[in-house]
Amino acid sequence: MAFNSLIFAGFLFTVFLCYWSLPSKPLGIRNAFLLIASYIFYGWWDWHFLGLIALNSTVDYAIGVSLHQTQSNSKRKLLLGVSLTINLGILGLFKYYDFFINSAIDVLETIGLQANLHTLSIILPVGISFYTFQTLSYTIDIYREKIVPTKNAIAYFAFVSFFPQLVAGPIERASHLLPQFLERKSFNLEQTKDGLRQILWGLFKKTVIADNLAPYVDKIFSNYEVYPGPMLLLGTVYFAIQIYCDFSGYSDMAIGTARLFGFNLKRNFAYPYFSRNIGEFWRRWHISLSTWFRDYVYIPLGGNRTKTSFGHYSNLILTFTISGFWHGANWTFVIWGFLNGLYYLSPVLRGTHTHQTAVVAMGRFWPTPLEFFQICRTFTLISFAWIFFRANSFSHAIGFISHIGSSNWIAPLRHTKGLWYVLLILVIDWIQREKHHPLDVSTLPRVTRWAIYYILAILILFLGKTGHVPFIYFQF
Amino acid sequence: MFRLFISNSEMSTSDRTVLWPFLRRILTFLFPFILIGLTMEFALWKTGDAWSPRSALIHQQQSTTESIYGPRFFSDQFNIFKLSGIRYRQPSILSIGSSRVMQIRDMMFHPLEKEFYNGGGILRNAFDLHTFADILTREELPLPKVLIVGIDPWWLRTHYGKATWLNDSDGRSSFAGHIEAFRQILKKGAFQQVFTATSSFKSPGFGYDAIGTYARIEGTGFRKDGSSLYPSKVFREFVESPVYVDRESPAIIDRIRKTKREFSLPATIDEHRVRLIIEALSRIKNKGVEVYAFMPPFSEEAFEALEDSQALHQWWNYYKHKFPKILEKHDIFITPVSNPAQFELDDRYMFDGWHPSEVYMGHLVKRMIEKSPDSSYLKNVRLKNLTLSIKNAAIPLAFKRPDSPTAAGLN
Repeated sequence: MAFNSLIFAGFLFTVFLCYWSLPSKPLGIRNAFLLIASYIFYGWWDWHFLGLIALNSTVDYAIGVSLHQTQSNSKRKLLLGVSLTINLGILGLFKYYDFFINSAIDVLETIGLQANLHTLSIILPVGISFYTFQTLSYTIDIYREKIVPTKNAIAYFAFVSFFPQLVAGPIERASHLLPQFLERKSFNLEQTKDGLRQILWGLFKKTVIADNLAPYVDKIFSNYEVYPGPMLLLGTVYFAIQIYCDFSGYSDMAIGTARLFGFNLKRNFAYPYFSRNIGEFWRRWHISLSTWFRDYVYIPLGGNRTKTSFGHYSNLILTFTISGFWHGANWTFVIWGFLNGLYYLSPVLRGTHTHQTAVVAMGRFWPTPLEFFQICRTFTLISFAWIFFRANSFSHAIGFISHIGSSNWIAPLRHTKGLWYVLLILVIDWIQREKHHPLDVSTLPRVTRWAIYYILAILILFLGKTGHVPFIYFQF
Repeated sequence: MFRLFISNSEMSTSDRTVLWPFLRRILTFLFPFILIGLTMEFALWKTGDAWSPRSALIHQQQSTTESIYGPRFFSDQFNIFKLSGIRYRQPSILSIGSSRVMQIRDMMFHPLEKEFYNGGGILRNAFDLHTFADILTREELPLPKVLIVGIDPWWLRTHYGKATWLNDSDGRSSFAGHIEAFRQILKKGAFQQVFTATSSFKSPGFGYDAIGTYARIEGTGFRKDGSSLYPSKVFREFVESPVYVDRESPAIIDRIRKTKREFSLPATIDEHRVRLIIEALSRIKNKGVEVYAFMPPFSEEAFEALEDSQALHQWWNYYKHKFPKILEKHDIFITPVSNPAQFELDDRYMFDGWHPSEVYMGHLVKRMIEKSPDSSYLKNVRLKNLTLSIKNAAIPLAFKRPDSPTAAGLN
């Protein structure tokens, strides 16, 4: 049941009506209802994996309670170890087992040894990387005594499986989302309206922009040998916009959906392509994952408090590389992560990585020439790294990149229709970049607002891809 | 637990007081979409486009006169329509292939007209034939006595279709299909046509019963025997100016010369696909079905272009010379690829570079029957009738002239 399907629209409408028709006291009723709805939502893909999410939740709920009750340091470490082993073990089995086996076979074959290893060829349960990180952060935060565990099992289970953000984030922290399950909610009209606006905007980005660019990207990346260099650059730009609209579109729909039920999820994207350096980009792109890796990988590794600068830099690169590997069991993702780590070093070395926290050209319409140059530079670097993210294999990426330089540069451009979509999204994002999301138009007169909604709805109906094009991040 | 619901009803009442006005506003916003959607759906249902292919087929087959099924929207229903037709008619003589076999008609098999069905259009590549053989040999379709299979040259080549298209997809049954239909109605200026089709029940040209917008507005669609009727405009234009025109877009001759689409490069033979075709035909034959492979013709100009093309040389020669020999080696009867000149006809007997007219197809069927073994079921066909039809054909494109008053200039 994808967000861009009619069945989800029906599901959401039904759940929304039932949820607000239920009494808000005791809390358990609405939470139990959300839990059931979330399990139905997840089971729609493959009910076999419901057991997995239930197991994950049960283990971390029990460990959380035990951690809080245990004073002994060694026991606490043991409990944390059990949680890490089970969570990462399940993730490793489903997501990385085949990758490691295949890599081992490749290595053994290159040194002339015949390996008798077998892969499992099992399906990757949708959303496993997301909800595993969510439950992991829960136990780690209890271990660090940043939060106390909840004794409300229904609230906890609903928090782990909350359907708006279950399959592709934003990755929520218990400290932020769990308390929202423990408070009484009343229907908030303004919040609901804004939620609907964000859903509409996300759907527009996904079905109109991302899905219309997808065929061009697929054609160019699959047949890069026959395209001239400028077309490959165009394909790279298209992919940069496609993945942005696909994933941020999903996040917008997730955040908007949660708001319909009175929940506030973390912001996941903040106009990342208007970033002036890589540091700023990573504060604006997939924010919930970046901060997760900062808090649970980078800082535990030592962060910037190492004895040598080398330690700091290696921590950075390692964190980015692991983050790349989180995306998928393929060397292309590892290289993508590593490359971003390298990029990140540059502002760190110059000490500018924490600069530029405010949105670019705040209070002005046009950026300065320097800002414009910085935005273009960041976009170019990021887009180059996206080639590895999109490529099927390392050799595919290298072939693509080398063909950019070696091929014909005076051939006419094709597939330029996609540029209209690129322009459209960049212009709207630029105009609205100071807003929480581009469709935050609550201050406009109602006639204008409705006109905007109708235009977007008509564009979705007429230009949006009607077949179900899966969200890119569902594969992670 | 139940008591809690009752005692706390006040809480949800306060929510409800805000919720219902909000829902009303949402409905108000959606009202224009709902209204337009329902109007369109009603119109599509009235034209017959939104009928299920099975119910359209039953309606057509039960009609006492000729009836044309030609929906304009939800066009991917044809597989279901044709497969349902085969199940319904249980033909002894079945023809299958691409659109290039669609001019084979029941009247060519007199007195076995009722025993014939044209399943043309359901096979587009070698994988489709393989799937069809699976369905037929599993007896999910009634086994015919005779199977006429049109094999196109691109079925043998690499880079043409990666998988079978022969599935049960029906755009009508998905929301996406309806959205696509609405887009077509509004984008292509078909709005007026749809609304005209809601009240017009006969096809222009021949005045047949018509189901679907294309059938009602352009007079094109599938006849009861599964064969296809071209738009009445084609016949009208031919009567006004009886010359050959390649009506495909882009023209077949251009596709060949520019090596585009079906004739794109590299045009190499895919042995796997060749094996799939042979294996599928052999399996059907082993079920006791007489299999007549048939290589649909090309216009003279297209045929000549194929002969002259260096880029397509290897593929074309394989199709023309080697492939028939392979089929013969497997005891499969084959009618080789031809052009009108080989039957002392000319390109006016072609709708375009690769679709023969029903008159030309009559010649091909006649030759097939003549050359069939004495034991063949086809020998029950009285060729005299077919010969007479060919001789008395009204125009090179059709045995009969459209005579409906709506076919301007043809009476």
